Amino acid sequence: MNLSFLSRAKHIFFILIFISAAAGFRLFWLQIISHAEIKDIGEKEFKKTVKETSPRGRIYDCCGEILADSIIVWDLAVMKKEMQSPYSFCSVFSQILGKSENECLQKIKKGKNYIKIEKSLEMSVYEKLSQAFKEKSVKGILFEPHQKRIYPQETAKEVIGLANEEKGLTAAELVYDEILKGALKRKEIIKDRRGETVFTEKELETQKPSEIFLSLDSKIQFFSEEVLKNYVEKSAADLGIGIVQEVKTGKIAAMASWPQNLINLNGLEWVYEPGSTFKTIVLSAALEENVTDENDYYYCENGAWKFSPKITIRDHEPEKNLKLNEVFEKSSNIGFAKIGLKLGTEKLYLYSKSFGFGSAYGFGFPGESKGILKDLKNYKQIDTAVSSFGHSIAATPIQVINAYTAIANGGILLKPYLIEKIKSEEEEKTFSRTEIRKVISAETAKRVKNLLLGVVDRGTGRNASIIGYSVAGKTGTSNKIDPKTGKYVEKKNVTSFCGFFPASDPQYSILVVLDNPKKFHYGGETAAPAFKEIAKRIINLKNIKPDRDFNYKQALQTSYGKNISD
Amino acid sequence: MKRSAYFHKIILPVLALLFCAVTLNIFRVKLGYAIERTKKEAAKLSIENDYLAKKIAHARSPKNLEVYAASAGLKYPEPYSIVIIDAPKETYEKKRGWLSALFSKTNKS
Repeated sequence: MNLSFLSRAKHIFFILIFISAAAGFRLFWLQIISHAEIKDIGEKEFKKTVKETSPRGRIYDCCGEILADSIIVWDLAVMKKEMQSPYSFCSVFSQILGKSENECLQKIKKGKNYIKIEKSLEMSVYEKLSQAFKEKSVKGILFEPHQKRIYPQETAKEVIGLANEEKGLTAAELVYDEILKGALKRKEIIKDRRGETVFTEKELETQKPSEIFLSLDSKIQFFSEEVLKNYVEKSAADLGIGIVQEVKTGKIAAMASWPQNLINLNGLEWVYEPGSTFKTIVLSAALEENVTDENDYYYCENGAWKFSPKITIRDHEPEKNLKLNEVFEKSSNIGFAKIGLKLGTEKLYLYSKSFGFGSAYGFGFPGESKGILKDLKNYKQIDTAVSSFGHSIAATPIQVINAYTAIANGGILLKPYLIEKIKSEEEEKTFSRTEIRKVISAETAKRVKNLLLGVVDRGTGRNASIIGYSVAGKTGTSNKIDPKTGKYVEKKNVTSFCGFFPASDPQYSILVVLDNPKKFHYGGETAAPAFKEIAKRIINLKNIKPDRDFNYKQALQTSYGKNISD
Repeated sequence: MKRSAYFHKIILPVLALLFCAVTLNIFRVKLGYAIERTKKEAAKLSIENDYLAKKIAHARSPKNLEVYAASAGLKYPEPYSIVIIDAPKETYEKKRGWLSALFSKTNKS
């Protein structure tokens, strides 16, 4: 081989080695030796601290159906100064969203630099728009992500409450805001020249949000809302409130009102005179204390009893001598005034307190009312008489239904609850049946239940009866009080019906209250049929078997009005 | 030391080390991009999942079901229109074969 060729090859090889070594050394110098210095320069230009909030915790019903959730939506904004062609932006925008191109152009013309064009775009629209803008190389577009609270079941909004991006505002969203709010993530990131993230250096995250399971059953809640809406419209009432409670556990299966009130939870906050529905409490106390029994008769003064020179207690219908069950079934105020006076002020007060009136249950919701139960020392004889038929006392709907639930489950007052479970990353907290106290004996509860059955079978509550099922309940009609003057308002009532079914083995208790129904005026005409509707739907939903014999053919004929062949 | 030995024992290893350090750094940056891209993809899938959950929850809502039922001409039945039959659970519960029982045992262990 030629020596000079070898020598040239050696030289070229060493030059290449030298260039590679120089390049390698330079890279080493930049990346290893000068790393700290270059990193500092880079961090100043490309390092950013980014804050992100993860979505707010979900709210479920008792069966795991999502009642409230958070999704990411995008606001579309433009930077006018960076935008080269508003026309191409507007044509894409109007094509995809089906909105007016001219309006879009007008908006951009009127705006200064930063202009918000559209809010809360869902993901499918956002993807279509961003793809279209990319294809047409439209510049100056900003998509700003933020959270939006949604209610997919469209029910129980009053109990769930309202929330904005940062915090809960009312009801459960407010009470449980601390555990529901999204985790705050703080990241230190390094971005490159194109704006893409290269590294995430530090990531700090606060505690992840918990999930809440309400005790509500979304289907029963839906039925209650639908039926209430119907009956409020039918009776031209100002307000309707409905509560459904599970007898054996005390949990609230539904709490609805119509018109919907997203600020106040009417079931816990609205206060009214319970009227004749309170007679059940007086009756329970009187039977428990052996002050009266089923064989006693009461003279009902022909419908008008001059209690004192100024005060006359009246009945809806004039009656003379009535047996105890008839006094209850015909809802005689005079009869009950006499029972209440026989029982005595102190015992009446103590049993009222025992059944939960005059105190809040501690749901934790801010507006929960205790109702109004006069102090014992302020009671006069007339107060005892009128309290016995549910006047001169104010109660919340939850107090009334919970008292009936106590009678349904053998005299034990349970703590009603709206939250069934709170689930976080670390633990799961469950709430269940809690007994507060035994108010009356099981035997007395049974006797009261039988009398309540009579009200529905023969008395004022006939419109609540369901073929094949034993329903125990009581109607109530009370005068409305003007909150300004504290006096009764003429021709303005509050009607109600509270009961439970099936009486042989109670599963659910239901309360329906209608405020100032203008078309019908008694609980039996307005609230009792609403109770029946809700009860029928629960029977179908929960497969509750009939507990009374009945003629199927006759029942179908009554309901469907057709000749049913064998 | 001979020149070739000097070259093989000192310069080449040093060059190799330099080359490794630089290459590792380049890989670090590439991996950083890949990780961030994967995180972005995961975030996007999480958002899609939320949207799907919303769609499912809405489809299952009683209000929606009532609309579908009404359009199909269905009505709420009376309680006595429904006959409840007490059938033993074994007659309608699906029996699991030995293979599926074995897999479930394996998964648990």
